[in-house]
Amino acid sequence: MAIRKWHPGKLIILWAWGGMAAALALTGFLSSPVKEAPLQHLAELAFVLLSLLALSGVTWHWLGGRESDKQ
Amino acid sequence: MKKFFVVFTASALFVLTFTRVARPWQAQVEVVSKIEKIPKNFKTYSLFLVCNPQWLAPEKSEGLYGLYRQFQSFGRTIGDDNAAVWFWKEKRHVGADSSLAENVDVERSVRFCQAWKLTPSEGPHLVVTTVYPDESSLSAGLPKGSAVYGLGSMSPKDISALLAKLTDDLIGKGQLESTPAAGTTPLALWVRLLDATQRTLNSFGCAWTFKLDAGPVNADLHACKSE
Repeated sequence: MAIRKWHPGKLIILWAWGGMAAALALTGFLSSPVKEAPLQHLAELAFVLLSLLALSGVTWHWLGGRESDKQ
Repeated sequence: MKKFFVVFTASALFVLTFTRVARPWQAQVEVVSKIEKIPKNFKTYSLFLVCNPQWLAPEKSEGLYGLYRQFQSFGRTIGDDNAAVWFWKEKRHVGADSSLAENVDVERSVRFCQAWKLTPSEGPHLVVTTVYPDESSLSAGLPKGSAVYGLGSMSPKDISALLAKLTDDLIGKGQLESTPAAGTTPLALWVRLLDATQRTLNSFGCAWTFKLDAGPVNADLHACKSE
């Protein structure tokens, strides 16, 4: 994914939506016993981890080298 | 011939009436003395077995009395075709005192517990079986399809909920829908790992508290409500 120009606001929007989706999935994962629907719980936990990882990756990628651009 | 018909009809009516009157008290069976046998011809038999010595201690009298009261209610609500069985040594007034434990026929319960390999510390036990519990052939072991519930670590509320569920099964379906043994199939490793992750996250979520002390305003926020 080529990121040409990122504004901090875009990251805030991404984290807001992504964080909310992850929080909802985590709530779903924690609110009922795993034994009732193991696959659903696995999907919810995987979504939480992958979405946070993806958001971290995007942020990391955008922040990389920003300091050098300013200088 | 007409006279014979009248006598026959009257006899049949008498038998039917007696049966309908007699069955309700039979559903709640309190077997008294060592020689009295468990009555037959029921669809299911729910035996309350007290083999745990801790439940015979004076401080447990109230708990044992509570269990007996729940047995009574259970026996009255499971219908005429199902028997709830409690063993007494002799017929006497039942109250929440130490004489209650003395009057429970523990020795008889122990014979069942030994033959059916029930762990006393998990008791008192409730065994629900569709096969007549014949005391002369206890060595044959626990009848197939029987459900065993260890009530020792359960609160009165949990016992009450369990008995309500059993009553639903016995009245509605005439049998137990799910025995405790059926629910103990080993879970896959990944499911257990997932379960452990969930428990860890849940316990972590309960670990924090937020306290605010700003003069006239005090707030104490807990993540999880403790009972």
